Amino acid sequence: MRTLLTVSRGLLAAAVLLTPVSFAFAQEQAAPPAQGGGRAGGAGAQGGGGGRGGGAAARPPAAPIRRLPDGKPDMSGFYNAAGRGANYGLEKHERWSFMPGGDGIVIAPADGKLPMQEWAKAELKQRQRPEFGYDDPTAQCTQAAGVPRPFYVPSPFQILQPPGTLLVLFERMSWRQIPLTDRPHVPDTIRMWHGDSVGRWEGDTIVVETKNLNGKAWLNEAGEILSHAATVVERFTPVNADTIRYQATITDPIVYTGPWTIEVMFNRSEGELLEVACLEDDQDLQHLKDIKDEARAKEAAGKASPAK
Amino acid sequence: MRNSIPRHIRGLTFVLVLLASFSVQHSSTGPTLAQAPAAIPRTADGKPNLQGVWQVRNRAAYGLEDHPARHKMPPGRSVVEGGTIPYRPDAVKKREENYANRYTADPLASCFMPGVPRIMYMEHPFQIFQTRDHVAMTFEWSLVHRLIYTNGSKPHDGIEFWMGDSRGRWEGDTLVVEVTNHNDKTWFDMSGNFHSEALKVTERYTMLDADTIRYEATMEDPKVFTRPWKISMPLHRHKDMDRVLEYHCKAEESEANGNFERKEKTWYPK
Repeated sequence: MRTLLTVSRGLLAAAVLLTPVSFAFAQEQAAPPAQGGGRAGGAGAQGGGGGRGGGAAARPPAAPIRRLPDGKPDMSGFYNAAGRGANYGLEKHERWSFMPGGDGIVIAPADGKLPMQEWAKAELKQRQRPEFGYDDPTAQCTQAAGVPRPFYVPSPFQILQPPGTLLVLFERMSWRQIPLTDRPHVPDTIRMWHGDSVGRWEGDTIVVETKNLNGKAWLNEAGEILSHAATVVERFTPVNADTIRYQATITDPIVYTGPWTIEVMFNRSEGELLEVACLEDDQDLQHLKDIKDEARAKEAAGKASPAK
Repeated sequence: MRNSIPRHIRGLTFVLVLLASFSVQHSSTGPTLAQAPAAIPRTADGKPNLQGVWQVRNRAAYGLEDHPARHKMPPGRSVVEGGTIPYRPDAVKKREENYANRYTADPLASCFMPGVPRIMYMEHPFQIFQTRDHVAMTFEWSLVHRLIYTNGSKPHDGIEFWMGDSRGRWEGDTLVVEVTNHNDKTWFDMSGNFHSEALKVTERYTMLDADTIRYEATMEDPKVFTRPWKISMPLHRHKDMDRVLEYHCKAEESEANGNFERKEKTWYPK
């Protein structure tokens, strides 16, 4: 039986599958810096970026932005994000435990730090304990990984621009659909992994506002936090024919003391979208659950027996 | 890979499509037709505009053939042309085993991807998007998607997909999609109807009117069936929906089982 791709997930998934994680990260690190890209610009038009299908050798300089018949930029295509290790920490970080290091993709505030509330700092520490690896929904094969996480993990995606819509299909099977209209968000009680998005053109940039998030998704394998109260404003700006600058500003009054912004570059890549079957091919889900159950059992036993 | 169809053939196709559309227009004004074809929406390039939110109104997801009610399994009539699926004698036993063990053996009981055509007639809406080179489908069920290439490209060589590899073309006003590269794990329905990795599915999408698509799928799999067989059913437009929502099979199961521990601070309070 041919297995297409195996995804590594979670702290302990990383431990079990150290080699693929390291490999993916090595690819990310190998991405050269942007030429005139954004501040935290990624691989420019060089492809690569930790995913699959990029990394062709020397290419000619990138052509100008492609345009649709109506004059709007045509960003459609197959892309990898230059995630720069953000899946293991949005801030600049050293390698720790089984997590690779990263350059940091936070461009505001200027110090590159997430303005976390005190409770959130404690929560983050807890999430980073081994038995909480199972609590990352992606470790349980919820491939709908939230917003904006799928845009900096090492996995490619296809952007389509059907009339009046920005549509993104992720190779880790999930999608985002963004109507470019002024329709209101769906009612407050409807909560989703990818929320409800509404977009508009601002010059050559598509600006997207997302609400109605369910607050269950983690921002990455490091356990960084987003709540249901978050509003995510994303900006998709073509830099040239093969590169999109992606920014996301997050306002979440439950978790953070103020808004913050990340930036990564999307690089047009060779190839076509494939299919990541997570649940269907899962190797380590039961392993993660066993560790979780063991920790729960210990905790319960501790509570049941009186202190010595 | 892309545009691998020779230019002159593409040109010929265009002329044929043009002729076909002329003849349709001609005959629709002729006296022999009692009823003019219903108007259908079209995209800027003149193709039928399939975009919108769609869903079947049948019980095919539970059984493609006539089937009585069972636990968690409402009854339904056959959508198979001729009524029954032409299994090879040596394949019938496996179908019977599948049926007997369906509550656990059905890949959907594990929230595995349903494959094609099963995803098309589940009791969940899906949305169609169209561009020049693609027809994309986004499904409410577990945020599964299909990307159908309509740019003349060829399927991948030697890669199996849960959702198959879909390459489409327009034949007049019908979108014809050949779906290959299936694995041998997906089923056609909850009744245990199955196939091998040799399956080839040919789908035909034809708009009957602005709110109805005739969906047909022909299955060829000489390892399991004695001949090709076809299913056929209407897809109905959800006029009151401008987007599909999310039903994530595994996530809902995990939460119901207590595998996701509720986080009072971050989760939506209801």
